[in-house]
Amino acid sequence: MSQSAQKPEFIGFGLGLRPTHYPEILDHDPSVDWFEVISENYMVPGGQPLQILERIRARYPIVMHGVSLSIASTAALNMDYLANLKGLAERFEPRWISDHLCWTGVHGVNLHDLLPIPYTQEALDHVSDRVHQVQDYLGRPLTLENVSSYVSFGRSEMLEWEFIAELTRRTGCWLLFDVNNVYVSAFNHEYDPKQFIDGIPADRVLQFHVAGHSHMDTHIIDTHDAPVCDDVWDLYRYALKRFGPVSTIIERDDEIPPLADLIDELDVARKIAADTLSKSKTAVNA
Amino acid sequence: MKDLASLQEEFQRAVIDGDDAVLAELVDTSKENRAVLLNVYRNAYTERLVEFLSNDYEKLYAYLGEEQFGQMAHGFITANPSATSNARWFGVRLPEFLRETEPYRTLPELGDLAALERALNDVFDAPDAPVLDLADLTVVPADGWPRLTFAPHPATRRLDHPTNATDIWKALHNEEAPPETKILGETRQVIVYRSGGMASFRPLPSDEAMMWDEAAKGVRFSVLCEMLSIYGGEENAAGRAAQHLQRWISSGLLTRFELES
Repeated sequence: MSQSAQKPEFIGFGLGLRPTHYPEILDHDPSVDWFEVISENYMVPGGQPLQILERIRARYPIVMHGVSLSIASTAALNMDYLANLKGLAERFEPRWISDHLCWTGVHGVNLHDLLPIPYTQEALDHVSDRVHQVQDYLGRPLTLENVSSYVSFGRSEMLEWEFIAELTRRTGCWLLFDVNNVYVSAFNHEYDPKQFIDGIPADRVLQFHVAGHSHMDTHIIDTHDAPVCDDVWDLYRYALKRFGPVSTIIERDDEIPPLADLIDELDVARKIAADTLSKSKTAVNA
Repeated sequence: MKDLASLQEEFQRAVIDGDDAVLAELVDTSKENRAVLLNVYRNAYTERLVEFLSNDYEKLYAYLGEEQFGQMAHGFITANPSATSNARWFGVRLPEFLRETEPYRTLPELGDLAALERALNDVFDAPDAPVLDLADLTVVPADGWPRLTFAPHPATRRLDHPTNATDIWKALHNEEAPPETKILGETRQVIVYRSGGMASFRPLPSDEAMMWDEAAKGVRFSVLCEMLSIYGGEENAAGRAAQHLQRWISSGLLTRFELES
């Protein structure tokens, strides 16, 4: 798998698909360009979840977003999980498949969390090898998301964005650039989030996440339970200037509001993107 | 310096067991101590797993209340660290845990209630399969009926409850106060199934439960009728068997029949 793989086209402004919104989506075809689905929610034998996804897929493009790939774990790759993922992708034909640049457990245990990695050459070699293996197995490039982190490791030898940039160079993977996660991690680890954005290769960014978080004074926790705050919208503007038009979703996992509220928030993203891009005169990315 | 694998083992022990050794690898910020920051992962670990359990066992959560459910869930999490890549399967052993572990094993309605909720979850996303229709049976010649066998739809589960857990479930479902727990003189036999995409259940009369259990093993219709006549009296045993069969088919409990030679 190399960087020569063609970049998927811009698909506009979407939402994370949540079961509470199924009826409204199916009954009213809301004005959402695409849906991001949590891959694991559909790794079930059968029944309504898969049938509903089929109906939604018939009307909207989808992207599959996983939480259990554990690409940075030193445990062996979970081939059962990958087989499930590949099967799901063959059935639902997502525009791309994403997961997180993190690990979720070792020794057969899953902590169901997006755990941080030290930014070392050893970790970079390890993750690069794993990305190659997964991409070869799936037969397509992987898209990886930067996670929010709360601790950093004294042993790190490079900055997070340097690690990510080198990973994309070595593997040809795409990036799901989570603007909120950059904001959260920058606050927690005391760096300028714009420096992060400046360090990311613009041509590898395939998708944006924007979301809300919880401020604990001394640190921020990435809770996805609140509307996007002004600071994150400002950072979104900055990211748009650097990366150009990038397919975007609002990510909400808790305190999920009515679909109409999320569509209103999505319209804010649309307007910010339109205003920012018309000023910066950036061409639509290929 | 430890390698990445050792560091991840140490981090995992810190989150699951509260081991502090990994703190030596972490750095303070100007605003916060590393131990407080590590606790974000520790707290999230337990909270997330408790949330998985309360989502999958919402009636049990309502029955026990937040505090008691939380205590029970912590016990389960300690005994059963997640070994699954999918949260959907994390809590599948909860009914067994409640039936085997003090003090919950002395409250059998908890295990029954959890088993009912697990069965409802399981049939909801069980494998899809054709649903046998009454019209499918029109091809069977009259003299073929004794040789018929039936296969249960994969979205069915049979439960035996020594308690009135189904009454407790129904009360909680209707947001009413649950009845007092009763240990029933006779085990309540329950079928859990999927109908119109949704999970549902109903208690089975004992002769129907017996016939279902035998039919699910592939016992042919003539033998099922004989068993019913022994079990519930000879009068109209074939008619009763046909009634049960008709109800199973109209509820979507069967996926196919076979005509044995």
